[in-house]
Amino acid sequence: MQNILNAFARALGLITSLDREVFSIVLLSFCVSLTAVLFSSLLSLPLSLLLALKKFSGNRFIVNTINSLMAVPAVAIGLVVYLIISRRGPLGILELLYTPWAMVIAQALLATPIITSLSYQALKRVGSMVKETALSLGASGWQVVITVFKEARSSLMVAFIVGFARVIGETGMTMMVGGNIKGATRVMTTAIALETMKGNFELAVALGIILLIVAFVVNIIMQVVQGAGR
Amino acid sequence: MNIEAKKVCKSFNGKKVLRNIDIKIAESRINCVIGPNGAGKTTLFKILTLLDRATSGEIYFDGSPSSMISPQEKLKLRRRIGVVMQNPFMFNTSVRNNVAYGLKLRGDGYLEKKVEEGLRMVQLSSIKDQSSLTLSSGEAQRVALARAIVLEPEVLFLDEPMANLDPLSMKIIEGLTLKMHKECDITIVMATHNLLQARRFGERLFVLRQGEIIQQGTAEDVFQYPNSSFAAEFVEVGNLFRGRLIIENGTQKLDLGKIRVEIVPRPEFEKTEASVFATVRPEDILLSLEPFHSSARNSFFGEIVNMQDRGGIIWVTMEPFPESPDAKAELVSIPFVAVITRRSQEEMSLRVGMRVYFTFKASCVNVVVGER
Repeated sequence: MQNILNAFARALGLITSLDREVFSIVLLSFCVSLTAVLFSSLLSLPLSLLLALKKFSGNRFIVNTINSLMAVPAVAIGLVVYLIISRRGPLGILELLYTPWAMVIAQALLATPIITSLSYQALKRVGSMVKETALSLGASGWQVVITVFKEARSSLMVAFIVGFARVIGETGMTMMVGGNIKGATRVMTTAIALETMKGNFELAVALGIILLIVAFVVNIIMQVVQGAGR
Repeated sequence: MNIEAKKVCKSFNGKKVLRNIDIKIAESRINCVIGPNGAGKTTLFKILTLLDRATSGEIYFDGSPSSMISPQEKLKLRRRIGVVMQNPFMFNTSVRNNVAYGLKLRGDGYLEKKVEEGLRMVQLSSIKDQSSLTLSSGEAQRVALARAIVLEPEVLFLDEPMANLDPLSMKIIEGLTLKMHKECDITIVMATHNLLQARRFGERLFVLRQGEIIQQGTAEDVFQYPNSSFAAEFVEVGNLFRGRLIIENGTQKLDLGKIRVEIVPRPEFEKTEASVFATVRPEDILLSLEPFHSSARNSFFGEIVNMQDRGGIIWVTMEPFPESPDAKAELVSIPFVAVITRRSQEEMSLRVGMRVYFTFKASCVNVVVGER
């Protein structure tokens, strides 16, 4: 018991003294996960808009496929990304393995089905009505797209937050492709796993506390956004 | 703007919703598309306003086929047309921003002034800063109307604009529609299943049934001379009879079984013994306590079987005795409906069970052969 309390006390000390190692890990975590969600959104937004507003053959199939992809285990994505970017893989020449970009790619792949599916549901709900109304009031194609996104803004925001929360908390996959290299690819989740195994609880607990705070803050933002959308 | 639909069909998942629609919207007039729910009015509106595409057929705007024009031209066309849908969607912002939406898209320089004016016209200036999500359906309908009219369209499409509205909203929308039509000379196309409205407003009427236009013409044409039993029943023609055309003593008549109704002779009826249907407007039937001596060719003696007060006007349903009555003659169950004012009813002390004469001219009988 004393051990745990000591670890907590020292962890708080690390946080309050703005320990360099702790904060470089936190910063990298945020950079990797935000970049991943940003890239994922660049694909998810147009795709979900297309699926929600355009009727074409194969539409239903793509939606079902995306929904199924949400269930793919993260570790499987990690394995696929590893095989593709490892030295002998098709993209081995880019030397991405064990770099932050490898983590970004894997996390983006993990987030894309989630963000696309949630955005699709949001856009499907209001999309056709907004589109019709905007067109009837003289909107051009682009003006319709902007209006649809604007109307679905709070639900889309929730989709990004859910995607971000999913990837920032991911451990196994991130470790597989990032390698958990100190000062280079060590992020909060991989550091916690490693330090716990080493018995170095103070750093693990400090990062754990920050990760929990992140989870709470994300949750609060999500509730505020959803409240504003009503 | 001149809008014309030629052979327009629309199907959803193989189900035909519109069939061979041929209509020409009368410019600077109030056009009413009437038909029951599910007849295809909204689908037709969406196609006419370029919000949806026809499966086949063509819409012409000022003579140009819409399928041949470029997207830029299409946008310009859409900006000349105003649309208010049955359950208008409100953007998740203030009432003011909803009304300003179309003006902002066009970069209109008089935005503030026009928004104020639009809201004043629908009597909603006081709630301009309110969120549009808190509006009642009547208020939302008025905001939608303001949102469309501030854009000064040449043609205004109103899809069931007064369905399920509170009396105040209905009065405002009705008044504004008429005012816009009179003062701005805009063409109005209104879908409705409300006959009173269609009769009051409609200068040109289109009757839509199961995706097909079964009659079009002036309000007078459609209400006086419906060309199908559906149209007759839908426009509440009052008296709808089915019978056979016969010639009796050299006169063309409609044989309804135990009674015969004289009609205006027409050469095309001479060779036919076809089953036909005929309509007579209730207001064309005259009711009297004594035999009524006039040039009217049809006069029957019968009994009042029902009286229905419809707000100051009374619908009197009578059944006639056979034409050659004997002492034990029973009423023929062919109801005739006439309308009288409450005052006439009081003066004549009319009540159910009373025996009366009812008379109408042969020219008031609208006979339709070969129903669609």
